[in-house]
Amino acid sequence: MENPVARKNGLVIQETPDEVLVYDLDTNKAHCLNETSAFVWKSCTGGNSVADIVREFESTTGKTVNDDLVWLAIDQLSDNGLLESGMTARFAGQSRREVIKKIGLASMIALPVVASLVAPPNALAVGSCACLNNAACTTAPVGCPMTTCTGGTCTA
Amino acid sequence: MKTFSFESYGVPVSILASNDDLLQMTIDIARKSLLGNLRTVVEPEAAHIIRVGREDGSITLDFDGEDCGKADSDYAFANYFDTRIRLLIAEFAVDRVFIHAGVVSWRGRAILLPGESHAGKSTLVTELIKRGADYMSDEYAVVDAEASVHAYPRPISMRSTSLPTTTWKVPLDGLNTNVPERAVEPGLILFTRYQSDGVWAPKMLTTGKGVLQLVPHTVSIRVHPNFTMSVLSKLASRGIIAESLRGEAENASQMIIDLVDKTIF
Repeated sequence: MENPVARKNGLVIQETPDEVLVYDLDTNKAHCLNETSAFVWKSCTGGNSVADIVREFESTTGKTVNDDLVWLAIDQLSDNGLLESGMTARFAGQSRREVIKKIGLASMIALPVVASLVAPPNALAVGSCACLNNAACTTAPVGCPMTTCTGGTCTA
Repeated sequence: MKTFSFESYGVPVSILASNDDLLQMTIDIARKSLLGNLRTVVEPEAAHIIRVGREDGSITLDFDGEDCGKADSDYAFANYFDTRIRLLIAEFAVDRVFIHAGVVSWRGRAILLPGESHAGKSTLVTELIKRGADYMSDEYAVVDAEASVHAYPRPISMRSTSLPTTTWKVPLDGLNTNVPERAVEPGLILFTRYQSDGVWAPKMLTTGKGVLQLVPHTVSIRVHPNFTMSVLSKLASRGIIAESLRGEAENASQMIIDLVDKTIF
């Protein structure tokens, strides 16, 4: 089995003390990796197996973790297109939910989380109710009345 | 074709109009919309092209090749163009990031209230001003490369609660407030929305979660992702970030000020 490789191309990466922010230029999605998922992501060099990442994690944090925690991170990173090639998590017949529950109860480490949001499609979608016809109001952003275009603005 | 070219926040724009009157009307709207941040240029390079024309009593508009449609009145055109020109500059601004937010300054620190249209930003901003905050904007936080926040002080746009289609502008000289002339340090970034039974219970967010929540309100994210992400990260790490539901703006404004006083000063 191939070792996981973190994607590097087409990403804008910003590091904060406890998290890593990633903006995907291909999908226009922003991701926030918490400390655990960020650690796993950075460890996905292609040279590290899951067992290697577990060992690295334990030596850095001084806490014991199992393969499931790393797989859980890899699963989310892969789902969000942050690995070079998609990887299927190996949860030994358990569902992701069961694994989360099991790790959550047993681990002193924060569960890996990759939170994501899509950037607005264009400037008009950022809080503008401007329109020149009724059709524009049907695709107006959240908060705009979506019925009629009156006087250059969507109105109820 | 009559032409006028200008630059605003580093964005070159050329307006091409079918006659002088239309050109002048368009320039006037642009000046007002951009609060005078507009410098005439003779031969702009790689300018964004806006075409305006009259056709069968309507005004036609085209932004960079995008046919925006026809305005059936000068009033509709003015409203639409006012928004579009501001968005164009906000989207392509060279060294500023425009975040859709209400903004005030409290004791020299900016309070940002990112939110969608019709989310009650202007009402909350007005209540904060009544409590002594300085007005910065009811529409955009303009953030520079160092994450300092600049004012964009348009007249506050209020909407009737009983008749949401009825709006009016509150002129700044009618408010007992100052507009900071210099950039202000970020203080609080608050994600809040009104709910009639909303209970104020601020929850602090991490820098990363704060940036993630700012993304949908950030106009330039797709055009300048590197610069924008860098500025958002700095902004979020220099201020505190919180989220909470809120009830009426009058009470919420005091809670917001208390939160800033308690956590920043």
